[in-house]
Amino acid sequence: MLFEAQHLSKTFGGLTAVRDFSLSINKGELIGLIGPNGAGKTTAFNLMTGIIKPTSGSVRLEGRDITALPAYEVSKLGVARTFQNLRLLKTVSALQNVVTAVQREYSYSFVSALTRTSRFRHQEAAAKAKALEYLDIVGLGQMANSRADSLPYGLQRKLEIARALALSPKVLLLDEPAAGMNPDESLELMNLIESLRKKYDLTILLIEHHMELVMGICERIIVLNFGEILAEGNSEEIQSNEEVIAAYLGPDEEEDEREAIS
Amino acid sequence: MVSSYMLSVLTLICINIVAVAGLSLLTGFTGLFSFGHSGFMSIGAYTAAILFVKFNMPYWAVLPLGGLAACLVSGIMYPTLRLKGDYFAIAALGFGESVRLIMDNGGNLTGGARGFGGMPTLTKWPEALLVAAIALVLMRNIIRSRFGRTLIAIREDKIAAQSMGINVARNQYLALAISAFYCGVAGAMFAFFMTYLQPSMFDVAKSTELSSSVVFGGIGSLSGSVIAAIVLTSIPEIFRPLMQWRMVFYGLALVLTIVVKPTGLMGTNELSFGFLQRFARKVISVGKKNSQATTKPKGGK
Repeated sequence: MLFEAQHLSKTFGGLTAVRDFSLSINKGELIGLIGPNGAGKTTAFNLMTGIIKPTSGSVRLEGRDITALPAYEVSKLGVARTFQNLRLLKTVSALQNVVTAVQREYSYSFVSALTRTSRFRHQEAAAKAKALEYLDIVGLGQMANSRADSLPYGLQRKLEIARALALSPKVLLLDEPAAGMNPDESLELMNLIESLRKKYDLTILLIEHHMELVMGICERIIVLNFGEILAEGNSEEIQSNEEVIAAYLGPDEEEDEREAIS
Repeated sequence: MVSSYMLSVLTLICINIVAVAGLSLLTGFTGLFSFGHSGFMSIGAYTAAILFVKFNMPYWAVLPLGGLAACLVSGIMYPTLRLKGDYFAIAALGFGESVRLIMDNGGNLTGGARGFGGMPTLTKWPEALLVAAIALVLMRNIIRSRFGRTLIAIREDKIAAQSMGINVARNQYLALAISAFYCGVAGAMFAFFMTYLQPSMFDVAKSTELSSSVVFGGIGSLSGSVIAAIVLTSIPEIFRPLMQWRMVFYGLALVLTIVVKPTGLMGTNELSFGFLQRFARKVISVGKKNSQATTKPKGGK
């Protein structure tokens, strides 16, 4: 088991955002996490990446308990993510966004930075080359020197993916990578994710609302509703699951009555 | 031709450049405002002066030691880095005032409110220029390394920085310690420029002057900070004949920048060959547009 969440719960005051969320990902899997708005998907991501701490439950990476670790440690151990609302370094170039992620593999000392030693110059050049490579892969090679916030929205999303890739993650968590994209763009993104996965042997957990994308590439899908896991299975199982349909389309009257009685 | 008065203004400019460059790393590149950095100047100034006068240490040794003292004292600010945004600035203000009061009540060691004298004028323009040049080169090297990029990431988005494996608290402290070192060195230079120290020289007004220089020059632009230090140190001197009215021009310069160019003189740009080229092109293209606009009606006829 590469990455596990065990019985994660998070309450904010009286509101339970996530309740008893468990999930396990094997190496190389691509899992989709879907659910209506406000179901707790992003909260689950935040819990799994250490940005917020769970009220109860634990997160494990390769068997190691990482629940209590600060977010930057979780990231260092190999859990990378993108953000639903884009968290790029806005005023710097696309290239610098990726270099900032890639540079942790290059550990020249403070003194060699001050004096610009040859070790510093070599590592800087290598980091830049590596970052350009990642930009090329997501199709941003031409835009390397553009300011991040001057890029079109779809490219900003790709830049976030490039930045997460540059952390050479063991697990990659993508929070709505296709948000705001039209059907053509999201199809293209789907192909990109597939190719990245093959190329880097990635393990991916993906939140997405574009059902075509989710059904098209995810081997396993987890449905979250009101903070709880509603269903889990492959795309056909999910599509035919009545509870899932009810959660998305609203329950029919019969079910309402049943709920009222119980 | 060049009067000794002008040379002393140049010296003062260089001292301010060192201090503002230090604060620029913290405010411009890391995104933490401080209204207490005169406290670090004060620590550097008094440390250097005391080591020189009472322990007979040489000038070139007490300069870095002043910086080091400020750098070490900045450790007590570490817990306040947990505070966000404006709250850190307030905590820094408290720190600066505390330092001033400690120097005020330092008895024979600091001379208290009577001041501390006995230093010769050792910071003249060649020394000041040399230190400022070294300080700027080193600062540029920090900014254009992985350390600088880490700080910029923190300024832009703390959560994104964390998700890239950046320890925000540790790196913010790194920026604070370096900025304290710079201000400490500037204070030490100042001690041998004034030859006499008083705690009130390093009050909130001095801290505010440093902060407004960073903002005036452009948040996230080292060369902007340098230009700001030059302009804002010169203005009160140029208008010295106008007595206290000169400060009006100081305020006017600040307000004009806020209104005309809210991102500061340089924005996030650095003064480089490439930037000058682009700037020149922009000016030329604007000029062309203007000339086209004037010639067009004629062509229409």
